[in-house]
Amino acid sequence: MRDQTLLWIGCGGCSGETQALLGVEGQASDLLDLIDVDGLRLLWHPSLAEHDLRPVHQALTDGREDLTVLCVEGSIALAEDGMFDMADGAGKFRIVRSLCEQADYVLAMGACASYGGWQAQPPNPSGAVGLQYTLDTAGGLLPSGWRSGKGLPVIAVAGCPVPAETQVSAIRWALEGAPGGLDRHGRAPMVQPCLPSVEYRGCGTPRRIGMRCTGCTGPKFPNFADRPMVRWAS
Amino acid sequence: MSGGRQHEEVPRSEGDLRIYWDENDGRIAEAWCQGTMYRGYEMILIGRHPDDALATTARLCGICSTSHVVAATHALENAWNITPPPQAVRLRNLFLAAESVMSDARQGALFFGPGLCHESFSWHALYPEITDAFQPPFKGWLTRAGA
Repeated sequence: MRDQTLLWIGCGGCSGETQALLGVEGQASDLLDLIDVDGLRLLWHPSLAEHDLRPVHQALTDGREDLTVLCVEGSIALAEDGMFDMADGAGKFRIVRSLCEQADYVLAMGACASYGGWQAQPPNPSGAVGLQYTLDTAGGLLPSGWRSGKGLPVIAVAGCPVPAETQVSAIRWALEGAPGGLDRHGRAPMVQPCLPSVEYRGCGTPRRIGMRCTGCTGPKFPNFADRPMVRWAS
Repeated sequence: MSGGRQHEEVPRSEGDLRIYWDENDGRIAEAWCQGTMYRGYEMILIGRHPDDALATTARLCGICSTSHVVAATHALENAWNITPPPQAVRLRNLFLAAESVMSDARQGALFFGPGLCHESFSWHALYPEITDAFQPPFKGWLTRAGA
């Protein structure tokens, strides 16, 4: 059996999940544990890689490497054939889609990869979508019926940013076969629900960083500053 | 050889960056860089409540979020003709300084250091020491210690 591998790709986002994972308060030890203790081999990560993605992508396409866990960060830009997020001269969404097809497990890291995020708000200039959702509507880069190599939909690890320990525990949970399954918006159980309550958006971001909810999963509150229920440090 | 136009996506740049260059007789004749990702924050903010700029511009960048928020704050202060109290300015400067320190550590240990491990620097006396410290991906002792 070949080793288990991890590939991380960054799309239309701020790379906040990467920064959370590589945080200066020791968070990166979670990622190192995943590599050293759990034995997940890091194939490529935009912030850690030596070279660009092409040789690794080629090795996966040729079947010289297997992809166990694919983490996608940032929304997928579909407008104008992907010209708002390019890689190798073409829309990056093609590379992401081909990687998704090869992965055993696909995790959408953060609100943008999960649901399109803030940049998917109207007028959505880049045509941003999430991997399997667009805001709160099913279907994004991949249709809602899509399943990964191990028969799972995209695992949404929402938040802005997602704490490092949540990211790592979501990866471990996926590798165990995702016991208990996903909630109705495709989220892993360690991610607190977000949509059900306007008053308390459950990703915890507003409370944690003292900001208001940016409405990353919902198109229904375009002017959230007008809503008295969503307060600073709610 | 005259290689024509070539390009490479630049990893570890925290932002999507591509470099193009033209080669002429084995030398670089011209070079360009291109940001390859656009989200259109300016367009999304049009027509929204001004306060929204404070919550959203931070999402432009995971590394320099504070700088973007402070820029948005200055824009709002200008628009509303507000002079912030001196303590607020000091606090703001502290936040920015903290962000700079964090960015320097990240930039040095994770992004810039590994670049020096490229074989084209192998002539340098410190090369073995540098590769020991920064060898990507995530193998150098200093990168790991920083983490």
